[in-house]
Amino acid sequence: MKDKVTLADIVEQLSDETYISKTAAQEFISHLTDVLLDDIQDKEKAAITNFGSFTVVNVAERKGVNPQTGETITIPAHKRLSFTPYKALEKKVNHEFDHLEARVLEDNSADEKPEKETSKPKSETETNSAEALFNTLTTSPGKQPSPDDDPFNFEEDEDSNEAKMPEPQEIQDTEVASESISTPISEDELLDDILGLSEEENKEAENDDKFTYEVPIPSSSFEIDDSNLGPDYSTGKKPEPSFELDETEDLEEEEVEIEATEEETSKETEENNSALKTPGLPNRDKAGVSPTLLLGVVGVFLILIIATWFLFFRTDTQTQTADSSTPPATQADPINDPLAFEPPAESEPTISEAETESESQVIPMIADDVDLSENPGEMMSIEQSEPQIELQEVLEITYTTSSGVWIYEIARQTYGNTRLWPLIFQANYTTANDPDLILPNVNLNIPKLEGTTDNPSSEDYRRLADAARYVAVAYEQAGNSAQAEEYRKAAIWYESMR
Amino acid sequence: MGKIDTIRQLSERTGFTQQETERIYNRLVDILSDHLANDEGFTLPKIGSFHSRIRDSYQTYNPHYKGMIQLPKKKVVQFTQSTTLKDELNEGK
Repeated sequence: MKDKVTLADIVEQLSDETYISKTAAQEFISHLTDVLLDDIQDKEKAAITNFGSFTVVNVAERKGVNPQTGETITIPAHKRLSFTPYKALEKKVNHEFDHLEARVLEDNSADEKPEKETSKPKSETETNSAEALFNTLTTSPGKQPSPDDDPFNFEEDEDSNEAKMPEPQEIQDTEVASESISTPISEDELLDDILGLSEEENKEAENDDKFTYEVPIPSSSFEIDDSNLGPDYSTGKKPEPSFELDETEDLEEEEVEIEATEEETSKETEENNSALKTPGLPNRDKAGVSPTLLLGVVGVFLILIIATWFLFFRTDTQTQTADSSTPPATQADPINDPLAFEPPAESEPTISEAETESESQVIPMIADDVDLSENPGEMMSIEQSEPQIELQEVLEITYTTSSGVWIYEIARQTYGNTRLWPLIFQANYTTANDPDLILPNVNLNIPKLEGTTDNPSSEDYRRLADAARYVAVAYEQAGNSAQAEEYRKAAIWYESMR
Repeated sequence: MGKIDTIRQLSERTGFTQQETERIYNRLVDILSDHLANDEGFTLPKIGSFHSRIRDSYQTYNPHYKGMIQLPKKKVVQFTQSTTLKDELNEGK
């Protein structure tokens, strides 16, 4: 398997492939080794680029055993040439086993595990909320585990942070519950299921306190989401059997459902709170402050998501934007409602307030989010207009060239992109000038762009094409026809970009 | 010393232009890499010999995960310095 190639073979191969004589190839290699050896002697390091690097390392004195006689000997300190392959070579040599990956061993993971688990849900909530938004538009909301999962992960984090009471059993319970909900259910059965589930959870609520009454609420808001999305999907791309219901029926049903579920939740909370009195709960001083804070954070997050969504679907009509505004409601509610329900843990008077709040929140939240979804449009215009203003301010100044600065270097400093240097050339020089010559100590006018450097407008492209042609002429007169041809092509390309 | 310096020195010594030198240089590096990738060892005179070998998988501590990890087996380049170079490097002692 392991062959050896002689130097003569390499010389022959090199001469064959580069069309040089064998002696030349031989000399080339010997010169290369000479250069390397010189470097090793002078700087104690050398490199063959894309192959590997050599360094001289000092080896400390150590004890060793003579393998023949068995006696211990001291190996004196010495120097040794070490070789480190470049990444390219390393990869090439390892091509057989490149697919293998390092894996973490589980044995001693006692320390690392909790770290991983706490960090994971956070990232999931972030990704899920973004994905969920997208999914609500593309896929069936019935098959959407993320809005359900989110509040739980969120909750678990909060509890561990605020109360610092590890409750592994309850977490498991809620996880099971969330799984049972997240599994896709047909629309007709959903109501029954929710009622059934909430009843089940009522039973659970008598045993464990705070996690349970959050469960029905996401599901109720989940229903609202369906009703609003229903019309879209009846005409939508991905046919789902569950959406064959009539729209009007849907809406009517939803209203009834909302009322029903709200009544239920109020009942539940009363039940829960009565149950809550008996077991001692961890005090939640922060709970009063955090809901408002988190509401704000969630709101900002939603705006960002919708803004990015707007970027991709700007051309779409408002009907879709109206639809897009509803998924945030589903996301906001599961997160907000549990928070609104948290205060009850403190004392009885606050319960009624929290209830009324949460009841009123479910529907107004949708309206709020519609407003939010409209904002990103304004935000976008602001975002786009701001850099323009800056650019205009920057680019109207004249630029004094110091000696030894190329025009494209000036373009880099002013526009931030060397590509735009023809504009400066056109504005300041005639075609009699050689573009490659440096013209020091001249006040240059830097023409401003209509768009931005990264996103030039159609007019900018027209001017760029014009300038490129201008530069091409200048190059032609300077006798550099290759560059002239290059810039003629660039002009055509700029025209095509308009 | 970078590649450009090496090429410049080589072109001075061999008489090729820098462009030609770079072409030959790149070709040589490719040839040498290919030989190592094909399990073929070779020797550069006065410097040392190169060959590839399979390094078995082994366990090591990963400070990022704060735990032991199993690294997969890998084919690596093995370099053995030439004895003449070794003597040259240590001749002062």
